[in-house]
Amino acid sequence: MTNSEQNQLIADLARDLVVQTAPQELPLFRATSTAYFKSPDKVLKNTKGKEEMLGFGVAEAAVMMTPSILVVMTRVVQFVTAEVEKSVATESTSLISDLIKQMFKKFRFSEAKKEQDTPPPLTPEQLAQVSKLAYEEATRLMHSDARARLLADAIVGSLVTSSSS
Amino acid sequence: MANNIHRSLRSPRLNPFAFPSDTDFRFVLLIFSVLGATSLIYNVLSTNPLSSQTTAALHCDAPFQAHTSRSIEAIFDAQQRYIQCTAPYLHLLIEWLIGGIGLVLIVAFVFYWVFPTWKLWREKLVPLSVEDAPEVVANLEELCHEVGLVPPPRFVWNPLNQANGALAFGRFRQYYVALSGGLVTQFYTDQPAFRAILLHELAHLHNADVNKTYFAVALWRAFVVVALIPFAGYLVVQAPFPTILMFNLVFRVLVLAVLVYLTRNAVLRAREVYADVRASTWDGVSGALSRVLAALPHARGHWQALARVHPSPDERCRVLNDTGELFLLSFWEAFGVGIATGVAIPNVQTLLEWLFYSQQVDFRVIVMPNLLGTALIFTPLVVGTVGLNTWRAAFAASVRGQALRGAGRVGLCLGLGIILGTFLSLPTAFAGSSFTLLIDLFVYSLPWNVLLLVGLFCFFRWIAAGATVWLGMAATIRALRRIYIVGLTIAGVILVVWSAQLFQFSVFTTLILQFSLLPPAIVLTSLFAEALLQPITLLIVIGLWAFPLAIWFWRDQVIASAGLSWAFMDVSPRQVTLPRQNHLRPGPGSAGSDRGIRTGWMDKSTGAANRAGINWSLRFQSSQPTAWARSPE
Repeated sequence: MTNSEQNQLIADLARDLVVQTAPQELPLFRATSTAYFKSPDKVLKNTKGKEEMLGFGVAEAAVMMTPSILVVMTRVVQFVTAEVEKSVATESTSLISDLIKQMFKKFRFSEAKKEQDTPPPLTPEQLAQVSKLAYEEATRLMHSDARARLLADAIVGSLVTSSSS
Repeated sequence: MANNIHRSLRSPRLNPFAFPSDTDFRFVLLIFSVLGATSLIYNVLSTNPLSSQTTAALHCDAPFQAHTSRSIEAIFDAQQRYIQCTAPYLHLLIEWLIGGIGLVLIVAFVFYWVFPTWKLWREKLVPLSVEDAPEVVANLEELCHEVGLVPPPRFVWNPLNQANGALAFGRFRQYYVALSGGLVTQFYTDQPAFRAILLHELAHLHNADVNKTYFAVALWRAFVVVALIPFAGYLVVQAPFPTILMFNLVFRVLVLAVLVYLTRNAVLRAREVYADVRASTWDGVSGALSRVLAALPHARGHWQALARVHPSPDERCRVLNDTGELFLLSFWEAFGVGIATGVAIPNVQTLLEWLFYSQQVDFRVIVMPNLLGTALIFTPLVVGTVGLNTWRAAFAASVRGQALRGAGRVGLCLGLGIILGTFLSLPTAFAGSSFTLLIDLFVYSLPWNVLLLVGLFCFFRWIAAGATVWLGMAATIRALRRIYIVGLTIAGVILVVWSAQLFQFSVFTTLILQFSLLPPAIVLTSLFAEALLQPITLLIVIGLWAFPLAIWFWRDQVIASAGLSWAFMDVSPRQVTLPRQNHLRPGPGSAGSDRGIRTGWMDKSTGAANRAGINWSLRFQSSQPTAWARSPE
């Protein structure tokens, strides 16, 4: 999967999550995701409210979710990619790219594919790993347990499970 | 809704913008304190590059060691020979010190100039474009137009900053307002809150806070880099120092650093409150500013609050609803100004003294110009801060029909601050290298310290009395400006002359008490009598009397019917009736309960007279007591 393909996938999935968890941020999604993919490491890690001279006061920490969603979704896509690559090491890059997309409900059901092309869904253990990964990353970025849990659940919900397939 | 109703029902707020902010003068005072400290630190650092000259100059006190006669002429003669001997060294030293001060200023300027670029890079800020958020950009343009900011600042943002904040920064003619991604998001969720925060930032630009704030901060950083760190390095490399000298130097520099830091924070907190008030005038009664302020996080403890550059949300909300707090006499502020002045005066005085000595001028000739020069630098700053604060308090008290209390105590706090500041100043570190010398310093300075306290106590009561009388003539904000400028200028001139006399008195007292064989009481009395008989003293006394009495010439002038809209915010001129300046005339004074200047600012309903308290043996007699009061509508 090329970088641009991966970025497009992350952006598509993150946009869905924004719609679900923070729809008010949708008007800024394009600008935010463009800035993120330009320099992914520039998402400010320290979002704790800080006070600056001639600022308004101690800034309220992490009121915006989109950058965190983009970071978390990047980690999740990287994880799923690694898992898919492990199972289909001999396949071509374009096929792997398609297989990764098929791990997410958004693409599995919208794109008409033959049954034999669809990869097996993630195992419960892998799903638990995704949930843990997403929750930890979101907590680190957003300093809010409730919102981190909401985001992790939404991500797990976006993945194809045995029952949904 | 309830908040809006509450705000619409609140009484009109006093207009803090009727007077200029005293924080401008406090910034200047900070700058002088830092530059004064720089000169003294570079004096310590000069012992390395000027070591041979320093050693030679140390032997210049031979005339003092040699002479046994204690006549004043002999002392003066020895002093003059000492000056001639040290002049070449002082010439080099002055060049070195000016170089040090210049270096601090240049580095400060570089810091100030580079800061916006560094900030843009550090915070990853990019211009907020129409492509990013067209509605937000349009709204920001509207806001700038609404508040009259021409040219508007450049709006930049970091879309990946999830916090909710904004910041005004920049340099001369290149101003920015930075928005976080979180704040821009808030535009779509809570537009009134977004508007309130942006108006606060635009208020900082409107109040011209950016250059002052960032230059003062840049100067402090330059001081740390170019003066404090080399000084610390010098102490380590040149050790061992005499213990007491080491302690005196380090202790003073640390206290100075803490003082400058706390004062800077206090000034910044004051600027925030003014920005809030300014923003509230644009935001209107239905604005969200109070709600947004109330939702801000609180500081955990008192010490944390001191370190903050914003006041607590509670305080900000309180001031927003009642600006009267901005008109209170501030004893701590006066004390702080006193300390800053006291720390800086000996530094500047020493620098000017060396400047004159390096030119081998007769020290008796330069005493007065030196003292006058120092007084000319610091008196406007003191009058501009504490004097202006007194005028504001007198204004608020008059509007409320109350007597202004505490002006004398403000003078006392200022005086105590000056005394403490003088003790903390770096020249004292060299003078007080032994405990005995320190005690001597306090004993010999006692008369002038007492005189300073008494003088400042009376002086600030006089300012309050004069302000109360003259404020009645202010029909418009322009008239008010004329009145307080004239009043403070007169006060400044009087304080310059008086403080120069006092410094001179102090210098001669210390010198003569140390060396004269006459009993101290006789020396002091003769010096004091001589000071009183100076023509300049007479001019001061005339000035003190003439300023409040001169109102008599305008006794028939009635404030025009345009109203006092300038005195309040959020109120139309029709809502406020006019104060009527009554026929005032000087009359015979009386002792006892009715002593003092009766200003004529009496509340009709309560009958509470505004008594200034100084027994001038004269009083203004008011045929009709008046007050500034709102009409019952």
